[in-house]
Amino acid sequence: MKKIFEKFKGWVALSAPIPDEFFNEVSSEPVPHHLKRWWFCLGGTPAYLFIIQVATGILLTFYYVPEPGHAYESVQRITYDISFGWIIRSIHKWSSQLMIIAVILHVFRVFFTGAYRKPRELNWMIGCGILMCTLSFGFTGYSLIYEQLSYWGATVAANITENVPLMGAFLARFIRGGESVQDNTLTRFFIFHIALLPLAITILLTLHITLIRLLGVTELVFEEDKGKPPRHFPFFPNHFLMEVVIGMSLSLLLAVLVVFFPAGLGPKADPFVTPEHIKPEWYFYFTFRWLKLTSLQVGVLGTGAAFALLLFWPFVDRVLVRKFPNKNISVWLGTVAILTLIVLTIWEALV
Amino acid sequence: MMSLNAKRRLIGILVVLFLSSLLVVAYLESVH
Repeated sequence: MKKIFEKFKGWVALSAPIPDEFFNEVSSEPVPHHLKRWWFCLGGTPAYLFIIQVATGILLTFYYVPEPGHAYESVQRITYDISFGWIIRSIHKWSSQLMIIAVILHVFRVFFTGAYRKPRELNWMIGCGILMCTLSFGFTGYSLIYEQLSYWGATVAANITENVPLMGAFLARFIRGGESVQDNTLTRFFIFHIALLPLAITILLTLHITLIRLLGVTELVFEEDKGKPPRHFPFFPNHFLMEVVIGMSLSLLLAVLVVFFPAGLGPKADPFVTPEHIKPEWYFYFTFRWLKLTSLQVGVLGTGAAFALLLFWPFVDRVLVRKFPNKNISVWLGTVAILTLIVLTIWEALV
Repeated sequence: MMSLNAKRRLIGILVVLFLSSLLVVAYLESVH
């Protein structure tokens, strides 16, 4: 048995001559001591949830039919007829919610620890791209169910896109696949959801993780560590095991959510009946409320400006630090921004 | 900060809990 194993090992080493030093380097990279705090594992969390999304998503595509006359019925079949269909669909739904929460919390953590500062500006911008992809995943996925709220949510979103300056009409036509939401729209959303967005996020994630490895993790000094020499611990097994603990905890949380709050199904989409209250998913509540408080034009421009500010924040921060040294202006502005987001979200939820 | 052994023990507990939840899910599927 041992001889066969040794022969197999020799064959693998000959066919894929990856030097041992590569594995040693990957597994025992010294990680700054502050990464022992759990909120520094918020980057690995959405990556783990993304793998769950891909696995459950592939299983769902075995039965989902991306055609308006059959989409809702195929989701109904998955939920009520196919063995374990309701479980796979519920895991997919809850995992998407948790992934969005984890990405948002990760953005907050990176922002408030200033880990976007030189030389990590490019990585911050790639991270913003990942955030946009994650939110787009949520939006397109929700629209595929083809129930009343998802159909009309997609219609409203496409109509709002028309108000983007210069290219609004083109963007809206590109999203809808025509002048209005029709057969092409569902196919388009399906392609976005299962092909374009996974490709985009895989490329961005690869770049993101590569840059983290090349630049290293930001060295932070907490109050209790001041005056002490910087401490490190190996990625494997220490930090890796922490990530496994979080992954297992998430799996358990998903199992509980699936059992107690399985994914349901609203009424089928009817293009001739407009629901009384059209609302997007909860992570778009803040922008929906902002649109209702202002006009369409101001709403769209405001949302675009806010995202541009987020994207280029490392450069804005540089100017602020130069003008107001030792004042932590970024932290104050970030706190105001988050409180505004929370107020707008809760306001829209209560209405 | 948790020690390596504490992390391994916690992972063991979480794995057992997770496998138990799979049993619950399988039971629910059988009565679905």
